This record gives sequence, structure tokens and C-alpha cells, in this order.
Amino acid sequence: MDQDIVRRASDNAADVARNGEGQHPPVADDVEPAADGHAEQQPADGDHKRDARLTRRVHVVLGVVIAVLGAWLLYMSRTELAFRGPNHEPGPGYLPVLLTLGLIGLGLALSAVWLWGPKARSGEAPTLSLQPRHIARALLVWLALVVCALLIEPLGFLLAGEILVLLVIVVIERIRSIPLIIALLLLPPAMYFLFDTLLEVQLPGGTLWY
Amino acid sequence: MNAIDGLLHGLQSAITPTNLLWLIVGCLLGTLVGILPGLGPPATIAILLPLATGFAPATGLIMMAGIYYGAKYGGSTTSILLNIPGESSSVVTCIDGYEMAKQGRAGKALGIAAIASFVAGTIGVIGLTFLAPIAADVAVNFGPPEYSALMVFALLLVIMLAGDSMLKGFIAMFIGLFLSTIGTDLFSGEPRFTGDQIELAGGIEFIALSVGIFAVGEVLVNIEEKTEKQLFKVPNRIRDLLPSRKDITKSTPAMLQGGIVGFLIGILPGAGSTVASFVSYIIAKRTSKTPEEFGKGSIEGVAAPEAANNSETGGAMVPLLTMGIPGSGTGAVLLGALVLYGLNPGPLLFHEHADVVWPIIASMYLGNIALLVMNLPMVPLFAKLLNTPYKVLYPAILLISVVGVYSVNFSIFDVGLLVVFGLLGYVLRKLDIPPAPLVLAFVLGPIAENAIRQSLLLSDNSPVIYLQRPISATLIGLAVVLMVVLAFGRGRKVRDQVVEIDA
Repeated sequence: MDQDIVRRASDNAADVARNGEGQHPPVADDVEPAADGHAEQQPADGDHKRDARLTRRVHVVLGVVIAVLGAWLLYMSRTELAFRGPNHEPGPGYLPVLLTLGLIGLGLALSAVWLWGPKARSGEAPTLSLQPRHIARALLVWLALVVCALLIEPLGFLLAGEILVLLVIVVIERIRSIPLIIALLLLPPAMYFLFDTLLEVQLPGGTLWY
Repeated sequence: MNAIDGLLHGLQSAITPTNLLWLIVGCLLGTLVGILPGLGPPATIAILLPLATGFAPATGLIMMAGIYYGAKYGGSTTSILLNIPGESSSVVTCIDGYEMAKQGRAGKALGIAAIASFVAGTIGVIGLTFLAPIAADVAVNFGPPEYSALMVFALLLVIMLAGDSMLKGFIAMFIGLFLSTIGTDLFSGEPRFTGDQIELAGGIEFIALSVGIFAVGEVLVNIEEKTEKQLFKVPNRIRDLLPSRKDITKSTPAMLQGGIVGFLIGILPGAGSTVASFVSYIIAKRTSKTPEEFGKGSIEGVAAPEAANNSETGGAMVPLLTMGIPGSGTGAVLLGALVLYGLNPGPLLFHEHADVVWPIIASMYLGNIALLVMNLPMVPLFAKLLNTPYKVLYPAILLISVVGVYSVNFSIFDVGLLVVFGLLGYVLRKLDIPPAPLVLAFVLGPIAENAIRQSLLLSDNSPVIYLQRPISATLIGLAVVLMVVLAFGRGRKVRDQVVEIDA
């Protein structure tokens, strides 16, 4: 499964030593594309230390967030759902309570491991790739999808799909190639034809027009 | 009529030019429709059911077999090429199949998926032919305690997909289990965590969750860096697009194991192809000579779940034909089709309607053959899809995901869920939390909860019931052993890594 992590610089150096010359060390999945087989420049030691610190902080905070979320869900489970049924059998809150207790424990364990664990403290644990520029680009695409999802009901699939495609062409990718633009613009009508016309899966037509 | 006579009679009835033509048409249509996310085998058969029921029973059922196998293979295609699992049983195929695609080995993955499906599908149908009566007896003895124990065992196996951090694997699994509790409680009728949203009364739609976490999450990770290049390499030579003899030899044990495991698990109603596919994946990983390749593009990691996924069909037909119990969504649609033809599945079906039952079984053999003949030549075509520039491919993936999710329930709310789970999938990847345990726990959660609560109702809240019944006691014992092995195995792995680093 795709794991968005960057290995330690020393691990990569060791890989080169093990693989021999002419072979590339494994690269993180986000160092795409794999197509040309060239890895980006290894992060310097200073960068690695900064990444390790950030990774540690993120994990500690993540653990706390999971524990707090678990506590809130536990509160909801205990107050809104019966733990036992009328005959003392497990009620609707039985499993949620057990699961939220587990989540609290796991969240706290995650924080503890990253606070006091030897690998985390020495910076040996794999670091996360959390570059703001990358995250911003991904969020931009996600926001385009949000806009499309919000507009599907009032405008219908065809127009909402075209708006998503236009956002990709104009805002996200700034595509200038005419064939690519045509191909992208034809995507929503092609899908509409395939699903709605051929397979008779009725797609939203738009409440504004109907 | 004994099994061999019945099968020969069935083949005789099934092999006519008309039936073979519709079998091939069914296989092609099934693949084309099944390739669309959200349209797994049950939905594909349901969509094409009116077409098939227009024929005589034997022809219609033969066409449905073709549609079914085609749809199964179509689901595998999107899992491998685009990381979009068309249904829950394809989730495991994504793990190594998509990794292979990223390495430019999509054709080999698709090819081995077709071959494994054929081999294991044949094992499943042979099992159905000869073991149906015995297997049905065992399945009858599977009550709630046995299911509870099986699910506990299966959930422990899920953790083996956790990657390097077992803690994060458990967190993902618990989140998946919690998400599965959302919706109406089947025992009390009380809504749980629905926030008064009527759309959540039936729970979170699986397709919205899985397509969001896998497909949308993957797109968001892939587009982080702007690039003009195609995302994946695709070899130019046809020979490089198909599995080599060495690949097939390497995958043979995984295919056979997956075929047997899939059939046995398929017999249990409700366990389904999801459990079959990932149990077989775990066994393949444990027995492989190269377990370190699993999760990084292992061809055995594609062969095993695909094999189990297909032979499960043969197993699932046992309770369907002998007891009238549909073990899965597809089983339910097939049951509907049988009833439409005036057939009532049950213990007497083999005696009263042997003229139809055996052609159905024979059609499954033929469906497997058609799958191989039709789809293997199409592998290079599908693999070449990845030559499309990613800036064209990803808007298409997003739009297909929206359409696929919408088409399940015709619900805009589900599209909203897709968007939310897409972001969750991205966050999980950024935080190095494995998504597979979350999605699989989401599938297994309701089965586990229902079975546990039924068991405790039966035993007056005494957990001793699990130890009083031999099958559940054995499964609980196995779960304990697995827990010990997991802990010990992880400890040893960590120690190995420490030694390696020190060296």
C-alpha cells in the first residue's frame, strides 16, 4: 500500500552500498514520477533532522487528537446509546464503547511511543513528507472536487463535470495543449453518454433546469 | 444422477452455438460494465439481468455466468490500474496490483489475475461439483459463535496488512470498525451516530468509503508534484506486457492455495470473497519464499487474492443451491434470477431441477474458459491505458469515482461522503497510516458485531459459549496463536532491523 514516507538518509546510503553501483536506492513514493527512475537529491542531514523533529511532533499531536476524538465519541456512546439491553444483553452502545476506549488507548500509546520511544528520540524512525507546497496542490484538487460535488445537484452532472475539468485546465494544471484540453472537455459528455444513455444509470440532470 | 453424469449432461446442454455466443457476449459486457467503479458483480448482474432473463433458463443463466466472471475481472482491472476497488473483495488486489502498475508491470498483474481467476475458478467449480453435499453439512453447523470466532480471527489477520507500524494498523482497524457502527442498530432499531441524517440510517456506503480512501486519496498523493510525464511506465513490447513462464511458476502455489481457501470460505454464508481474498493473501505472504516483496508489487500478492476471489464463487453456490442462502450480494441477485425462472433453491433443487442445475454448474466452467479467452488478449489494451498523461487520467478518475459512487444509490449525499473519505485517504497516506486495515475492518465490522451479540444473547452473556463449541474453540485457539505469532514475529523483525542497522 502506498506509504508516504521518506526513509532516513543513512538508510538510503546503506541501500546504495548493498545494491552496488548503478542501482538506485529505493525512493519515497512521493518522489514521483517513477517513470524515469531518477531519485531526487537526498535531503541533507540538517533537513533530515528538521523532518525528524516535525515527524515526531506530528505523531505526538496525532496521538493526542485520536485520544481526544476517542474520548468525545466515548462520551457520545455512553450518553446517547444504551450499553446493555433490557435483558442485560449487549446494547447498541456496547461495541462503540469498547472501540472508543481502544482508540483512546491507541492514541495515547502513539503519543507515548513518539515522545519517549528510542527510535523517535534518536531520529532513526522514518520521516513523513509534509511539504506545504505539495499539500497545497493536493488540497487545491480536493477543493475542485468539493466544488463539483456541491454543484452536481443544482447544475447536473454534465455542467458540474465541466466545471471540475475547467478548474483542472485553468487553475490547477494551466494546460495549453489544445488536444489535451479537448480530450478533457469531452470527458463529462462521454461519461454521461456511457452511463446515462447506454447503461441507463440516471445521472443528475440539475434541479435548476428540471 | 451422480456428479459426473450430471456434469456431462450439463455440459451437453450448455455447449450449443447460441449458448456459447451469449456466454461470450455476457463476459464482454460484464468486463466492460464491471470496469466502472461502484459497479461490482452484483450491480453488473442486476443491470444486465433484464437482458439475460429474456432467454430460456439455461441460456440466460449461462449468460449470467459470463457476466459474473467478466464483472469480477473488470473489478480487478480498475484495482490494478487505477487503485479503485470496484468492490470490497478487490481491496486486497490493490495492495500489490497497483504497486506493480506503478512499476510498469500492470500487464503482468492483469495477466496473472486472469490466469489465477481461471485456475481457481476451476478449483471452485470442481469443489462445487463433488463436495457440495458434504460442504453443505459443515456450513449448517456454523452458528453465531463460530462466525464471531471467525471474524475475530479475520480481524487479527487484517493487522498483518498494517505495514511496519502495528500501532497504526490497530488505529486504522479501530477507525474502520467504528465507522461500521454508524447507522441503525439492527438489534434495537436505534440510530447510532447518524446526526439525524436519514441517508446514514443504512450506514456509510461502502463504495463511497473505499473509492474515496483508495482512488481519490491516491490521486491527491500523485498530483502533489506537477509533472508533464506520464505517471507510470508501460512497456512497448507485448511480450513484456504479459506474465512470463517464471511469473506463472512463481505464482502457482499462491493460485492453488487461493483456490482452495476461497472455496472453503465461500461455503460460509456471509463470510464472502473479501475474507477469502485477504486470508489467502496472508497465507501466500507467510508461505512465500519472498515475503519481503509483498506490499511492494509481488505477483503472488495479486495471484492469491484473485484466485480466492474467484473460487469463492464456487463455494458460495453451495449454500445458495443447497439451502437457498445467498452468501453475498451477487448470490442474492442470482437467487432472484433463479426465482424469476421458477426455480426454488433448496435441498430438493438437485433432484427436482437437475436439468437446470447441472447446466448452471457447467456454465461456470465455461464462464471461466471464456474469461481467459476473452480477457487475456485484452490485457495489453488495458495496460496501455496507463500511457495516458496523468493530467488527463486524474480528472477522469475523479469523474468516474463520482459517477460510480452516485450510481449505487443515486445519492448526492454519497458523493459528499466520497469527497470526505477522499480527504481522509490523503491524510492517512500523509501520516503513514495504512488504509487497507481500515477498509477491511469496515467490511468485517457489522458481521463481527452481529455474530458476537447474537452469541452473547444465546449464551445469556456468557463468553464461555465460544469454548464450548469445537469449531469456535478451534478458531479462538488459532486467534490466540496468531496473536502470539504476531507479537513474537514483530519483535523478531524489529530485532533483525536493529542488527541490520548496527551492522
